[in-house]
Amino acid sequence: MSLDDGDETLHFKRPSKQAFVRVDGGDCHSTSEVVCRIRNFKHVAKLGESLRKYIEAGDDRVVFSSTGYDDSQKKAVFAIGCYLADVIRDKHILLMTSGKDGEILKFFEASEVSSLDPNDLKPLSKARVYGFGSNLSIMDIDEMLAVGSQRDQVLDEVIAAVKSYDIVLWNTPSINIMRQNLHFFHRLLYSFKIITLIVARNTLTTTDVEDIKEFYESHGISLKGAIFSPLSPENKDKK
Amino acid sequence: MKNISAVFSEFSILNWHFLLKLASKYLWISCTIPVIVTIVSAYFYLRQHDIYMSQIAFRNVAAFDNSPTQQIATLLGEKTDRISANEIIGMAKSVDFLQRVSEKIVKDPDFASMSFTSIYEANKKNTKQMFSDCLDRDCEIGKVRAIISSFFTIVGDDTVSNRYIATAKTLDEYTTKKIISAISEAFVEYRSETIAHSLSEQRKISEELIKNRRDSLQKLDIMEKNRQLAQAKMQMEGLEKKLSLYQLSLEEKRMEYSQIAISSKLTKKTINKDIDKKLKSDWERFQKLKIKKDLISADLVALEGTSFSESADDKQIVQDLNNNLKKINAEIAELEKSKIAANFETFKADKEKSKDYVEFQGKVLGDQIKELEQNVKDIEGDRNALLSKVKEISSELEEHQPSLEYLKLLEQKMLQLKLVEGTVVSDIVFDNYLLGNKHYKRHKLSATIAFSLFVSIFLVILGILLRYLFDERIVDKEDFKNNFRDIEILGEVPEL
Repeated sequence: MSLDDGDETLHFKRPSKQAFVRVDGGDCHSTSEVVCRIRNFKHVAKLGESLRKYIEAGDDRVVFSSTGYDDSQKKAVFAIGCYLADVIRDKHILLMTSGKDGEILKFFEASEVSSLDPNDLKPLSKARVYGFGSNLSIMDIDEMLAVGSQRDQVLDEVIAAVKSYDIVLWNTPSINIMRQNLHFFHRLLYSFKIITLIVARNTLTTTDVEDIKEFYESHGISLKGAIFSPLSPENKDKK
Repeated sequence: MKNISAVFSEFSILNWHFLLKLASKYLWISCTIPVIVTIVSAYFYLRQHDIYMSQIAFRNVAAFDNSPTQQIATLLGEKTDRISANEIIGMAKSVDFLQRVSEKIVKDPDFASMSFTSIYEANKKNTKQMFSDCLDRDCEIGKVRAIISSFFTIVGDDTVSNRYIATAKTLDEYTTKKIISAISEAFVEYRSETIAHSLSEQRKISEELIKNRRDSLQKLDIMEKNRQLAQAKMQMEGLEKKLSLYQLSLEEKRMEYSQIAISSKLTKKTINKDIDKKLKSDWERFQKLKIKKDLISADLVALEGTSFSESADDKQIVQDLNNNLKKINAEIAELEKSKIAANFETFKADKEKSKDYVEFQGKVLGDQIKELEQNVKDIEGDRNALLSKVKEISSELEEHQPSLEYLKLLEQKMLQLKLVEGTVVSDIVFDNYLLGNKHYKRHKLSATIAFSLFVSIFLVILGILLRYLFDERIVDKEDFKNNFRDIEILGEVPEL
């Protein structure tokens, strides 16, 4: 199933009761069926707890970045988002991403679609927010840019959305794309406080790290943590 | 470039765990380098020539005091030229010693086939090839002398004192044995000559010293004085003997004189003494009775021998004669004591006869004693005069006694040196068997393997370190942590 911008009749499957059984076996006590879909829950819990420490300290606007290793990055951000939504239920969490490809498609498939504001007839009224459970929302930036005719307006809406949520996790594009569209991302970047780097073994170099660090620090975002990604199939072959 | 601190560990200097991780990551470096090092090591091992080594041990017997020369020298109180360990080892480097060894080697009939190629060189050459530019034997000796010291060593034996080991190493077995042989021969010759030379020099110096000392003593007329002293002492000895004889004779004469004086005194006393008159008259009667007795006895014998009639008258006569005889015998018995008077008279008469002779003897002895006393006095005077002379000469000689003693010592030393010089034997004694004789490669197989292993490990570590330092890719969490210490590692990307 694919998501088209103009498709009004999306038929996302509601998670069944069986979805609450862990993929790797055993009962799942989470109220979020998404959390129960995560295979290695322990890793996610560890990551989530590490990040929760920063969030509780006030750094509740978190950027996730890597260099051209999007799939791992997306998986990490979605997993962490689901975990945080599960353990911090009194906070509304927004998860921003770009595109719906790869393994995260299943998240979109399992979500409830809602518009930003159904009563609002602004150009972004067609943009959708994908809800998971009671406190996790996912926003596809690409989708929003696609439906919006004026990017500044879209940006204002996005910034307003970022401000309206308690916790925002942003799965950013690569810094090369960011640099190319800096006029758009510039304002948005200032809304965030810390960055977590997704490190792809044998792919990411120290120069890349320094580059990313420098880029984000120039926007007031400090690099706090790193999440290691397993080797990609192509890297496994190289090794 | 990456942070190098990750390579080091505060506990084991190098972080071996990290290095192993790098080795597995850069597997081509970890495999290629050992293979290359092994190939190169094998090439160099197989390219080596065999090294022939021989060893011979020798002792410095002078240090044990049991060499013939040393023993004779010790017996005579002479000290020979002993040699220290450093001198023995240093001697082997002296030009003179090397010249001897070189001469012995070059004179060998198989010299042309020997090899003096350094054991460190790859290409082996014989002497014909090496010394092709030499036209005469001196040139060859000079060349051998210049290089020979690099083919042998002499070191002290760590386990036995005063024992040394000469080791020769060449690329040719015969050359090695020849060098060992030449070293042992040269050592013995060198030491014998050195000792002989040393003793000869000492003898020359001693001779010179004796000559000088004698000259100086002759100038002082010491020798003449010495002769005079000896002569005076001899005269003294003669006088002492003479005096002793005279004194003995004088004592004998004095004793004899004393006896004669006593005898003379007693003779005079005897002569002047008178005998008792009664004893004298008894003695006269005794003599008369004796005569009467003899007459009566004769008569009786005569009567008994004749055919005398046994008439009463005759019997009466015999009876009377017998009675008279008994009476006379009784009276004689009573007068027996008067014999003393007769003896005394005889003694006195004898004394009167010898009185003059004794007096004469006493006078003669007195004269002899006086003469002897005079002689003793004269001899004592001569002796005293001679004694004064001896004392005078002795005191003069005493002043020059040290010089004389020194001369005496020099003369003794001279004699000793002559004796020792004739019995010179080398104090270096070589064993009559080789201590070691083997051939081997300069770098053993085990050492080559160990070396190549070490070099491989070193180069692999170096290679992977360099590769790591210039490889900017982040390998793992540890690698990331080493390079970005202020960034916390939160975990791993989960599988969804």
